[in-house]
Parts: sequence; C-alpha cells; structure tokens
Amino acid sequence: MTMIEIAGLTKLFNAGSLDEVLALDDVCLEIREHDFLTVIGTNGSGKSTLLNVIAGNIIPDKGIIRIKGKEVTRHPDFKRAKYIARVFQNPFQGTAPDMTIAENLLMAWLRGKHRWPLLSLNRKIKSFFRDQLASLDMDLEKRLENVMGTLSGGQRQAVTLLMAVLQTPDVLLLDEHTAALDPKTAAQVIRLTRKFVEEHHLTAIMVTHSMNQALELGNRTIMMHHGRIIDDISSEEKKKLTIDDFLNKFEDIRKQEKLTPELIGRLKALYC
Amino acid sequence: MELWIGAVNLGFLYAFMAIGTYITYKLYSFPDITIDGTFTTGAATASILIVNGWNPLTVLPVAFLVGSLAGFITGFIHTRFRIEGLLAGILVMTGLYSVNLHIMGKSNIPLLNDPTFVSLLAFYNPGLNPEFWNFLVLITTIVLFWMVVSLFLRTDFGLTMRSTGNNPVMIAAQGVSVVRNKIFGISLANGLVGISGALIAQYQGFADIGMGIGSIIFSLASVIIGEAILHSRSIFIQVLGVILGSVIFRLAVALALYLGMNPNDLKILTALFVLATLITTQFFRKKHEGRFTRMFHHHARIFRWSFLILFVLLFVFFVVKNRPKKENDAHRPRIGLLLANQSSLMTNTRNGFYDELRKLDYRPGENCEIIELNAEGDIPMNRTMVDHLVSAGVDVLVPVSTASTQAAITKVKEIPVVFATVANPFSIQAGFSDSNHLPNVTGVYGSAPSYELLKLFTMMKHGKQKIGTLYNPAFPNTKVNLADLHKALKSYPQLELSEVSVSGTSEVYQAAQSLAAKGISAFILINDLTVFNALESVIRVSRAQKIPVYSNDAERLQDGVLLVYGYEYYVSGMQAAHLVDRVLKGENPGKIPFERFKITSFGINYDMADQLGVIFPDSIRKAATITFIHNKLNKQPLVLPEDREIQTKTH
Repeated sequence: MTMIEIAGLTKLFNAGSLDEVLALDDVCLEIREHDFLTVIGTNGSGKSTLLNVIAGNIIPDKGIIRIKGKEVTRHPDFKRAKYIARVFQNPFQGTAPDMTIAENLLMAWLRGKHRWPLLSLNRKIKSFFRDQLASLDMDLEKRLENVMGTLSGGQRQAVTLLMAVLQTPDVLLLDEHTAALDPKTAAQVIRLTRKFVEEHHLTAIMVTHSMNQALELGNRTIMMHHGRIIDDISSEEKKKLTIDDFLNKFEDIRKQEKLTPELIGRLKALYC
Repeated sequence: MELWIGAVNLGFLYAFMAIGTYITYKLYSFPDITIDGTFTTGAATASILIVNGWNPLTVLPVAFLVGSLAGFITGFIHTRFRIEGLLAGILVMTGLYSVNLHIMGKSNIPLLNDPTFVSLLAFYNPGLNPEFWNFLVLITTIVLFWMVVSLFLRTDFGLTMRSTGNNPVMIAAQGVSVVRNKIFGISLANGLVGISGALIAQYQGFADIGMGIGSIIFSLASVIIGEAILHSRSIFIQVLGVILGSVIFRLAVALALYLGMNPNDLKILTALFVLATLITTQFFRKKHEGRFTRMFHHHARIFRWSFLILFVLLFVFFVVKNRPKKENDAHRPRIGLLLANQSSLMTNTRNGFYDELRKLDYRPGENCEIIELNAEGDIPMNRTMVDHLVSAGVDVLVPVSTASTQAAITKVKEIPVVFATVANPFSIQAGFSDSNHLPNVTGVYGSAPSYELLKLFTMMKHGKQKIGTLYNPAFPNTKVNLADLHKALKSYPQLELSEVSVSGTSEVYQAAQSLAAKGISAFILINDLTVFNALESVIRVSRAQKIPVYSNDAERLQDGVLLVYGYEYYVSGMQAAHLVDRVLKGENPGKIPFERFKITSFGINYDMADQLGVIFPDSIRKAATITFIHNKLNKQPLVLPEDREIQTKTH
C-alpha cells in the first residue's frame, strides 16, 4: 500500500530575484507503507525542502502530495500532525525547554487530538511515561518532573524521538537528527531510531549527511541534486553498495555538471 | 488603615489584569500593549450597561467578551498579517480610544447613584467596616480565581498554551495551530483585563476615557514583582506571585503617596523598576558566569525571601513612623486639597483658595494645616489620593476639578467635601439642585456664559456673520459648554457657527486654520481644556489672518485674546475658602447650597485691537473690568460681593 505519493513537486525560492533557487524541480516519489527511506544529497540539493514540503512547513508552487491517499498539498503543518511525527536537526526545536519531561510527553501523547481543559496528566499516565522513558536506557525515568532544559542535547533528541513514536505515526520524518550530536550520542540515537522503526513498523523518511547511516539504515535510499532525485536505490542494491560506490556516483555528477575537483573534495570531506 | 486596605483591595481588582499580562507576557513573551485600551473598554462597557439598568455582576461577563474581542483583533492582525506584536497592540489600543468614546458617548460616566458591586456588598454587610468587608469578599473571590486559573493552566489545554509560548515549532509538530492558540491566549488575557476595568470602574464609582493609560507598565511591574518574590516552577505559586505582585504594587503606590512622594515621579520609578528587572533577569540568565552570579543562583531562595521580608519591614516601619497623630492636632483644623493636574485652571483656583483663607485668618502651618496633593492628570490616582487624605485625618476635603470631585464624593461619606472649579456638579451626581444635594457635599460651580459673549460680539460686529469654534468633545465640561453655546445661538439667528473638533493639543493649529479658511469673522472659544492648553496656536492664526478671538476664559486676556467674558477660577478658590470656613465652624454642608461663581470678569485687549485694526465702542470700553494696554494688565483686585457689602457698610 502506498503511504506517500508525490507528483510534479516544484518549489522556487526568491522567485525573480538574483538568489533565485529551484529547490525542488518536478519531483515524483512514491513511498510504500513500512518503507524506511534515507535521503542523501549535496548541500542545497533540496532534501530538507522535500522533508519540509511533506511536513507542511513549506507549501509547494506546483505538484501534489497525498498521504494515505488523501491530498494534503495545501494543508498547514499542524493539520498533518495526525499522520506525521517529526524529529528536527536542532535538539532544542523538538521539545519545550521550560516544561517538564512529563508535560512534553503529554503534548506528544495528544498529537493530532483535541485538547480539552481536562487534567490528563495523572498518576496513571505518568507511570506509562516512566515505562516509555525506561526504554531509552538513559536513566530518564527518574527525571519525569525535571524541566526539559536541564537535559543534554542527546537526551533531548532521544526524548523527542520517543515523543514522535508515543502515538504511532503514519510517517516519521527525521531531519538530520543526529547532525548536531557528538559521535557517541549520535550512535545511541541511531540505535533508538532503528529500534523504534522496527518495533512500530513505521514508515520513515530520514535525511542524513552520513553515508554510513544511509547505507546501514532503511530499505531504500534516494540521492538528490539540484532539486531532483538523481538516484533511487532499492534494498537489494544497497546491500551490494559501498561508500566508495556512493562517492563514485557524485563523481559521475561531476562529469555531467562539470563540478570542480574542489567541490568533489568538499563532498568527500562531508561524506567520509 | 483605610488607605492600606483600600490599596490591597485595588491590588486584588488589578490582579485580573496582571494575570492577563502574565498570560501574554510570561506564556507567550508578548508584551500586549492593547490592554491600555482594553482596560478602559471593560470599564466603559460595564458602566454604560449599569447606567442602563444592568446588574453590576452580569456586566462582568459582557466586559470579558468585549475585552477578548479587542484581544482577538490584536492576536489576529499579529498572527495572520505577521505584524509585530507591539505594533499590533499599539494599533488596536489607538483604535480602541475612539471605540471607548463611542461606547461611553462622553468621556466620563459617573456611577454614584447606580448599583455597583460595592453597593451590592454594602447591602449584605453584616456590620463591618465597609472597606474591610470589601476586603473579606474580595480575598475570597481572588483565592477562587487563583485556583481556577492555576488549575486551568495545568489542564491539557493550559499546558498546550504554555508549550505554544515556550516552543511554537514543537507544538505545531504536535498538531496544534500556533496561530489559533495565540489568538485564544491573547483574547483570554484581554478578557481578564476587561473584567479588571469593569471592577475598577465600579469600585472607584466612574469610568473615564483616560483610566487605562499606563496599564501595561503597571501590570508588567506586578508580574515582575511576583516573579521576584515567589520564583517557582509550580504554576500555583507563579499565579499566586502575580496576585501578590499586584497587591504589593498598589501598596507601594499607597506608601509613596503616604510619604508625600510626587505621583509624577512614581511613573518614572515604575518604568525604571521594570527596566532594571528586565536587565537583571537577562543578566542572571547567563548562568555559571562569574562568582557573584553563581553565588546568587546558589542562594536565590534566600535572596528572594530576604527581599520580601525587607520590603515588609520597611513598609511596617514607615507606616508606624508616619502615623498621623490625630490627638495632638485636634484643635488645629486639617484641610485636604486635591488638584487634578498642573494646568493654570487648577493653580488659579488653588491661589484664590489660599489667599482667601489667609484673609479669613487661617494661617497654614500655624493655626491650620493644608495637605495638598496633585493627581498630575492621572485620573484613577485621584481615588488613591482621596484615600490618603482621609487616612491622614482631614476635617474637610477640597477637590478641585470634576475628576477629583468625582473621586471624592464617591469615596467620602463622613467627611465634608467642598468642591471648586466644577462645570456641572449635577452631571456627576453630586446633587439634583443647588439646595438638594449629597449631605456632606457643597461647593462652587459654573460654566462660562456663552450668551453674553455672543451679545458682546454682536455689539462689535453687526449684521450677518460667520463665527467659528473648536473644542475637544472628550471632555464632559466641554459638552456642557457647547450645549450652552448652541442654546445661546438661537437668540442670534444672524450668526452662522462653524465647528471643528480636536482630540489633542497638537491638532488645534490645523483646526484653527481650517476655520479661518471658511471665512469666519471671529473665533468664539468656549471653555475647553485642550484648546485652553493650546491657545497660542489659535492666537497665531488669529494674528496671521486678522481674525479676533473671543473667549469665555477670563484668565487668558493678556495672551492675545481680543475680548473675554467669563469667570476667573481664582474666584472659585476664594468662594471655596469661604465655604470651608463655614464648614469648619460647624455648619452642615448638606444645608449649604451649591454656589455659582459670584464675579464675572469682562476684559478687553487694546494691544490686540490695534494689531487687528479693531476699535472698541464706548459702551464696551466703559463696561470692561479688565484691560490690557501697552503690554500691561489692569484689573481691580477681586473681592467677593459679600465682602464688598461689609466694606461699604463699614465705610
């Protein structure tokens, strides 16, 4: 079954000005249920724009987006939140710093639901939250009443991830969610990501700068460049590929688009 | 004691507004300046409904709705059109000024004889001191309000509101419309401000167009004080802090008055206080930097509590130290003089009052004591000042101006009140006629005689004439004077009147020019505070276009007016001094009829006549009591008629 269907998606930023950027150029993409898609690409290739368009933060100029067969192209982000959960690159964006962990989890527990003036944050739900926090393996279950601001970036990102899956979403969007973390914490968050996606059989889209993550995670990888999907690699192909193969693909682009050796160097530095 | 309990009660009533600011400022980091207008809107709505027979309690939900509608507009233009929060607030606040005037129909609605929550409470009073009884009821209400607000902010909905302010990106990802949520929060906050305005209007006994000015700074101060003394994560404690902050702020105002501080300085002190707190909170936010900051953080609780205790101790110290010693001064009469602002209207009345008192052998500081306060144009301040004068134990209260008188007669029932320089005491419900009025109130009133002024004009200029007038319709006195002018015009069908209204002194020059462009042959100025304060603008046009100015204001002849006919407010002060004398000698103020001005002044300006090429007829020259010639003002000393009689008898 198709979870997300994207057709003819185009987005032009700063139209008519000198810094006009074609961030998405007639992008077509179909994501099946339980697909775990990783997205790689050069800076400014449009991968974050693609994610933001799916999430509803950016409304495209042209094209159609369907989630579970329902057209949502012009729906704002909060209306899509009943299908979509997100983890941001910046660990400070996914949680409210002055609210307690419990209060943050409650907000996620109510994702896409109506918020009545009811006192839902009772003992029962708190013990449920405690169990969920225990699954993070970060000793956070004792800190339910602590404010989010007292947690480290990695801990906050882990809680954000938990918040995203607390109500099982139809689609999980991960926007370079380990880029701002140190390698050890990043590995921990990736481990949790894999765990949650497998446990809940989630449909997930992950934008990443790490070639390793792109290869290891997910059953499908797309490569973007200049607002276009230039490669779509299936699960079987991925098994055969190495990081060098990926880099060779960038080399091919160079040949087509006359990338300077300098740029190749920068790409290598970025992905190795 | 009245002063302090009154201040606490005011603090409770203002707490609704402070909670509104807490919601916008603390939860959404949105300093909502709309409330300067909304506060008045709430007061205006409540007052007009009460005057039309509504129950004083059922008007509160209406005030809430009207207030939240204003908040809705601010929130809407802020979120939908992405107009900066402060600017959106200023836009709506400015617009509300006109809306408020339309709601009220005039700039001031008295509620003296109408039911208010205060009169409702008085009805159920089991025999306690009224202010204390108010306190008991209000503290119960405020505790309930505290519980309701705190619980609400802990519900799913309340938590969503708090998260929206804390991290809009996160809450949008959880399926919440940030726009809708913010609009709701701002509407709710303004609704509470509307309730606050409605309650204050009922408590002080009137609604006034200017009562909301500065609300945002005062309620920010309350929120900040609350945060300083009770810093906590708990929403219950935070809300309690805001309520206490509001009470402490009002107590501080009362204390400042008690210590004789100029309320003018109070505003800059408040502003500086808010600024200092904003800077220090930013400073302390950078944690772990520097030893002092770390130490402060480590002992934050101790610092805060010592601050609170210090404040309470200082407070008690000053109150005990400065308690008026009534017993010792029992034989020395104490007079409380309350002025509304610094205009010459006030100071002339004041001078007349002092001079005449001296003639009556009252020597301030020797055989009598005068406590003089000036509200500096801040209308709600009049009420606090009345409280202060009452608690200072004055034997007679002398409010000068309509606003001060209104505050005095609403609040004071036991002490005699002698008002001065009021255009129409009946419009503020001081009485029904000169002899049938409130039992503890008497005074001097009068509005300028338009008929005579027009008559003098027709003596100067014959035949069909166009005349022009300008005024600020926001002042209740102006409306009385204007109606008087319209009535007088009926006797002079040959005169055609052009009117221009202004809303501030800065518009007067343009308004005068627009009248000149209509080809008028004279400016006929009725008494109006705005035009009075910007008379120079009219004179400039008068000189440039050679159009003479005729005025009802007898005290501005030397400033370039051609002809004046009217009252000198100095006389009002003189007459008030006589009334005070009678009251202090034991006469019942309820039996003393209200007095009109006893002296009319008629002045002509020869210098101006030369400039404009006008010649005064002989009849006018002879009748004038004041002349201005060769830059010199010639006038007889003002003597009240009864004194003149005494003088002629002794001669």
